[in-house]
Amino acid sequence: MASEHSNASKVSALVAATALSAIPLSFAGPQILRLTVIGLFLLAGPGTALILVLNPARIRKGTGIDVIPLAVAIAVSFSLAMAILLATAMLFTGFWYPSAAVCCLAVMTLGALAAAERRFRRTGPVSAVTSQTGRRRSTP
Amino acid sequence: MVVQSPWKSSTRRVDRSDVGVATISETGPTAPRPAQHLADRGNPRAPVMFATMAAAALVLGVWALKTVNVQDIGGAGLIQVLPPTYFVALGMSLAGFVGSLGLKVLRPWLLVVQLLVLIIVLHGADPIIHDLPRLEASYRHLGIADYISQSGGLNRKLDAYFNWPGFFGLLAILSDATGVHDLTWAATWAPIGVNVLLLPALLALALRLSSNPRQAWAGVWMFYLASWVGQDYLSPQACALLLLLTLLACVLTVFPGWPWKRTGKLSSRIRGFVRRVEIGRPAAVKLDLSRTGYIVLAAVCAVLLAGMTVAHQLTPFAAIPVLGLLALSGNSRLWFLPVLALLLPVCWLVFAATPFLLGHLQTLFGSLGNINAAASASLLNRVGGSPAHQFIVYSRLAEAAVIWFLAGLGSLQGRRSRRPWLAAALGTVAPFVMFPLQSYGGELLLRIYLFSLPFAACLVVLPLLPRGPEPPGARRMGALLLLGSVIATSTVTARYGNDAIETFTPDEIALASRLYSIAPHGTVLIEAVHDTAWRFNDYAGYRYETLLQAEPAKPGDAPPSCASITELVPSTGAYLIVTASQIHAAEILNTGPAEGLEHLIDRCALQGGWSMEFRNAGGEIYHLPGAPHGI
Repeated sequence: MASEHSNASKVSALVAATALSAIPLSFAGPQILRLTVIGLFLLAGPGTALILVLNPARIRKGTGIDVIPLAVAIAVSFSLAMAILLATAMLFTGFWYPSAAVCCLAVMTLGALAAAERRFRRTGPVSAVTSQTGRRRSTP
Repeated sequence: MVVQSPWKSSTRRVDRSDVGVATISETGPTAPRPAQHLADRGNPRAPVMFATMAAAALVLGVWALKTVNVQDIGGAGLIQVLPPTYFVALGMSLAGFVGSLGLKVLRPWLLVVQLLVLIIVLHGADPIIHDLPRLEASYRHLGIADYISQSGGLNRKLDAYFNWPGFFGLLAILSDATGVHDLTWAATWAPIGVNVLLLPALLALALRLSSNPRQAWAGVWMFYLASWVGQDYLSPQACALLLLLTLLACVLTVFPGWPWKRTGKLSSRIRGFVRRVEIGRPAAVKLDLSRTGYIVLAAVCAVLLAGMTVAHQLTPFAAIPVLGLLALSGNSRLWFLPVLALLLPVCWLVFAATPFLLGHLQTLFGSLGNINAAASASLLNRVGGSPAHQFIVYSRLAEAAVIWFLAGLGSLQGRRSRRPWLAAALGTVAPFVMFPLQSYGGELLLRIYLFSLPFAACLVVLPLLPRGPEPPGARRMGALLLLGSVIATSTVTARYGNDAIETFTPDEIALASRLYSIAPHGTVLIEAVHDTAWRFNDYAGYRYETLLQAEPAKPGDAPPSCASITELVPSTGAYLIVTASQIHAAEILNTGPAEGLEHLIDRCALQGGWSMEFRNAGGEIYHLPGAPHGI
C-alpha cells in the first residue's frame, strides 16, 4: 500500500514540478529549457493529473497492460485536447496570451493534483477508488 | 534446523491478460526449479537476444538510410535507391518482433522496443534521409502557426485552415510560450513523433478488439506495417487521429455494453442478432472506478470530440459512423456520444466556420450522394502520370485492397472460431459511409483507409494467432513473418513512392526564403507547379497563385502556355518560382507541357522579358513585369 502511494506520489510530484516550472518559464528563461518543460507539460501534464485524480486501482497496483496503454493515451490526448480547446477559445475571443494559456493549464493541473492528494489522504488507497458516497462500483 | 527445499515451493500458473500465461510463486522468495522455470518462462536469453536484434536493426537501418543518395531518387521513389542493408535491417526488425511475440511469456517492454525500432526504420526514413519536413503542406502548416503567433488572430476568409484553427493554435502557443519560433524541427521529425504518440492509443484499442494480448500486439504491428498513407506529418489530421483513437479505445474499454435497456421488439432483435453473429465477445475490463470516475471519463470523451472538431474538418465526421455502429452493436453504452459527434461538427460548420461554409457550399454539398464523382476523384483521376508513378498508385490501391480482403477473411475466421471480431469489422467498414458524401479533394479513399486501418489490422492477424494466450507455433510465426515482410515491402514502395515530389532540398528552402526577401509585401507569387516548400513565412502577406496542380493531367486539359502564366500576373507584376521538385512533379505526373516545364519557362522568359532575380541548385526566381491589362 505504501509503495502504491509512493509511486503515485512520485508521478504526482513530477507533474506538479513540471506545472510549477512551466508558469515562470512561459514568460522567460533559456529557450531549450522552456521548450523541454512547456513542451512536456502541454503534451502530458493535465492528462496525467486527470489520471491521478481517477486513480484506478489496477494502475496503482501496476497490473493490467490493458489499462496502462489507455491511461497513457488519455493522459496525452486529454492534454492536447485541452490545449487545443483553450487555444481555439483564445483565438475566437481575441484574447491571445499564450503564456496565460500555459499558466491556466498549469493551475488546473495543480488543482487536480491537490484534489487527488487530498482525496487520498482522506480516504486511503482502497477507498480512493470508490464513489464519494462510499459505494464501490465494479465494471458494469 | 529446517531447510526449505526449493522443490516444495508451490507455483501457480495464471492466465494474465497482460503477459499471457505466467507462473506465480506462492511461497515468496523461494525460487522455482531451474528446469521448471525454463519450461514455464522459456529461455531467459531469448528476450536479450531479441532486444539485441532490435538494436542491431536500428543501427543498421539508420546507417543504411544515411547512405542514400538523394539525387538518385526518381519516379518510383525511395524503393529504387534503398541499399540492400536497409531491407536486412527491416527484416531483422520484423523477425525480432515476431520472435518476441512468440516468447512463452509476453514481455511488453520488449514488444514496445521492437515497435519503436520498426517506427524509426519504416516511418522515419524521410527525416533521417532528408533532415527536412516532408510535403509542401508541412511548410504551409508552419506558416499558419507563424501567422497566429505573430498576429494573435485568425484570417477566416483566407482559407479553410483558419476555420479549424485548434491544432495551429496549439503550435502557436508552443512557439510563443517557449520562445522557439522556428518549429521546422518539429515538422521534420513529426512522422516518428506522431507514430510513437499513436502507440498507446492503438494498443489500448487493439486490446479491446482482440481475443488475447498477442493478437493485440500483432494488430498494432500490422497497423505500422500497412500504414502507407503518410498522414503522420505535422498536421491537424494526425493530431485528430490520435484523439479519435483514444476516444474509441476509451469507449470500448470503459463503456462497453448496450446504450438502451432490454425493452421493445427492435431492441431484443438487435441484441439477438449481435449475439448470434458474435459468440465470443471480449470480457469486460475491470477498472474499479467510482461512479464519479465514469462520469469524468464520459466528459473526457466529450472533450476529445470537441478537440477533434475544432482541429480538423474530416475526422469528427469519421467518428460519427464508428460511434454509431459501436452503440448499435452493444459496444458502447454512451448513447449520447454518436449524437454529440454529429452535433458538434455540424454546429461548428454552421456557427464557427461560417465564412468557409458560405464560400464552399458547392464543394461541400455539390457531390453529395454522387458515388461516381467520388470514385472518379479518389481512384480514376489518381491513376496517371509516368509508368513508374502509375506503378506506385496501383501498389497503393493493391495494398489497401489486400488489407481489406484479409480483414474480411479475419472476420470470417473470428466468427467461425468464436473470437471477438464484430467491433473490429464494424470499425473497418464504418468509414466507408463517408465515401458518397464528397471527394475531399480526391483524398477520401486514402483517408477512409487510414481510419479503418487500426481496426482492419487486428482482423488481418487474427487467423495467424491462436485463440488462447499460448504462444503461436513455428508455422504460425513463419506465416506472420512472411505476411509482415510482404506488407512492409509494399509499404516502403507505396509510402515513399512520391518521394521525389514530396521532399525538398535545403537549396529549395533557401530559394523560397530568398523569394520572401526579394518580393515586396502584397505581391503576387506564382509557383509553376503546386509543389513548393513555401508559405512558412508571411502566410497572409502575399497573394499566392499556382500554374499547374500536382496531379496527373486529365484528358481534355489544356496544356500550359506563356499566356496561361501571363493571365496570373497583375498590372503591378509578379514573381514566379520554379523549383527542382516542381520539375520532377511535372515529369512524374505528366502534367507539364509537351516540351517540358523548363523549356516552357525559358521560352516565356525570353518572350515576356522576365528578369531572373535569383538562381541556385534548388531552382529559379523570375520577376514578371505587369501586363497592361493584367488582373
